[in-house]
Amino acid sequence: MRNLPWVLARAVLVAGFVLFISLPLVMILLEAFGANWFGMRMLPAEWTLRWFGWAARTVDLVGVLINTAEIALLTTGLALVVSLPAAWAIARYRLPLKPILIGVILFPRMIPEITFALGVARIFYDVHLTNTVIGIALAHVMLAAPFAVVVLVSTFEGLDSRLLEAGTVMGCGPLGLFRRVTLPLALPGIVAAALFSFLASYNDFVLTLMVYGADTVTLPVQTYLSLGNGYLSVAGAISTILLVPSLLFLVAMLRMVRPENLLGGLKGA
Amino acid sequence: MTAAARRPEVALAPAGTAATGPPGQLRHLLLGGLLVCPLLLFLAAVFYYPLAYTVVQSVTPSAGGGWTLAHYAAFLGSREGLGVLVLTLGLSLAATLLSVVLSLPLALLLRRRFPGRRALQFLMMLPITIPSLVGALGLLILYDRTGWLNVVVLKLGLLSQPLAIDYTIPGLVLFYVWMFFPYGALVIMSGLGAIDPAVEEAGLVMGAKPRVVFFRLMLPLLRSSLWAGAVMIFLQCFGAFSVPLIAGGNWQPIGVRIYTVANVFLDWPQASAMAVVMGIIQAGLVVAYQAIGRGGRAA
Repeated sequence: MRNLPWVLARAVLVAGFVLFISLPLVMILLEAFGANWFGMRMLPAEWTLRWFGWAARTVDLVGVLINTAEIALLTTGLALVVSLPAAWAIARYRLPLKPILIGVILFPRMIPEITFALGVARIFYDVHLTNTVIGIALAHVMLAAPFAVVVLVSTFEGLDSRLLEAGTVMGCGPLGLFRRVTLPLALPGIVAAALFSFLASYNDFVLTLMVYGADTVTLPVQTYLSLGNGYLSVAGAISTILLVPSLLFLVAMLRMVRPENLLGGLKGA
Repeated sequence: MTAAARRPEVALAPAGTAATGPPGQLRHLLLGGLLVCPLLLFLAAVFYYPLAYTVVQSVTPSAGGGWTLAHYAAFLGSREGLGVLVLTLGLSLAATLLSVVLSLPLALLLRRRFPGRRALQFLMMLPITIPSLVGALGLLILYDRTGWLNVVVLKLGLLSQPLAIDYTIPGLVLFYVWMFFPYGALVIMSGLGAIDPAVEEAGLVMGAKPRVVFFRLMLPLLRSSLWAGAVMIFLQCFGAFSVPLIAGGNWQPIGVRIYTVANVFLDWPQASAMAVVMGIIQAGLVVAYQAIGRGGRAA
């Protein structure tokens, strides 16, 4: 099996794959950090940080970054507040109609964002939630909560009841039990749910596009707006910043879980 | 709410104990229901109500009053509407086939441990972790008339004219493959992981050539994973929005078309009808995916 054609074919496959996947992102970096990149040049004629300065001055990059982070943090908090108790109940209680309940919770991830985004846009407009941080965060919770519930249910189902009992026997009150036993055991799952929620909001484009306004532009929306205005390099600079959390998240996740178990949490549109 | 979440651990029957009779069941029902309530209220307000709103909009006559299926008829009965559906399904089908062809060797490769395997896994996950918009932007630059691909092809003298890839249908298919193949690769990888390595070894020990082992043993065992992976990729392609929005040019698949009809033509009832059709097709695909998953496990 280890003959030369086989090894060569493998090398070509790997090299082709690496180039195919990575080059588009290399292009983003070249666009963001280069200038005078025209015609048949492979690399920009000049390296510069000026596009980040442009983005800061012309499209208020700092303000946009703060909006995006605020919305993502608020989404994470809200998603955890509603998902934690629900996941606990699903994992540890005998509830009737559990499959239907889970279906109702997961349905938002089964249909395209744009389908309910249309309704969200109209309703939020009527109740003055468009162009508000809380409004966009509320919409984003619909992206984050279903998957947070999935992660948390499997976390809570995996808790060893004997440890919880032992805690009670050893004299822990309900609060002490939660703080000393339940929380430490469930923490990795809760952190994963929080990270997924944050990223779902930080990266969201479709829903945000339907409910954002002049005061609540986020990084993905600004990337789109800059592109529409023809400022490719500014869009590249914003994209570079937009990429950072996703890359950190990916590194962290690959350390913790096997990639095939990540399926379902990530969703592009 | 968090206080309520903390309390029930003590009241909790250890998992695995037999049903504790009516009082225990009632407590489970009441406390459990109470804990699930906030999420359900949230879903009702921000998801199910908007969804119902979209459905109602889609059957509201433009002139107001009563109800009508005219918007559905206008979409499904017109050349233009059918064109949108054919474009969307055609793009998705082509991208799905190519993605599966790319995913299979990759999944086989990543099965074994070798130096750089983690880096390859990282790369494979990139397209579905980063915002689609950023990926689409990078793809547009790479495959531009003056992008790297064309510069290399022209400098090597392989072609005299640059290839037109951006804003064409083959370009969109290529972009979809880049963006969505990892979904298929992941499904196939987990399918491969479920196959007992002894099966492959047995085939080889019995003297079958690697090619025969692959086609006669591995491929049939992988069949349900391949189908599930294909449906998964198709699902993603069908729902694609960011990529065709900025890289589609004049080609508008259904998601982008809905956005255009709503935000440019301001015809919300028409956009709603299209959105409902899209939602039904997508939900159908999800059901198909889950059915394949169940079938695969049962087999």
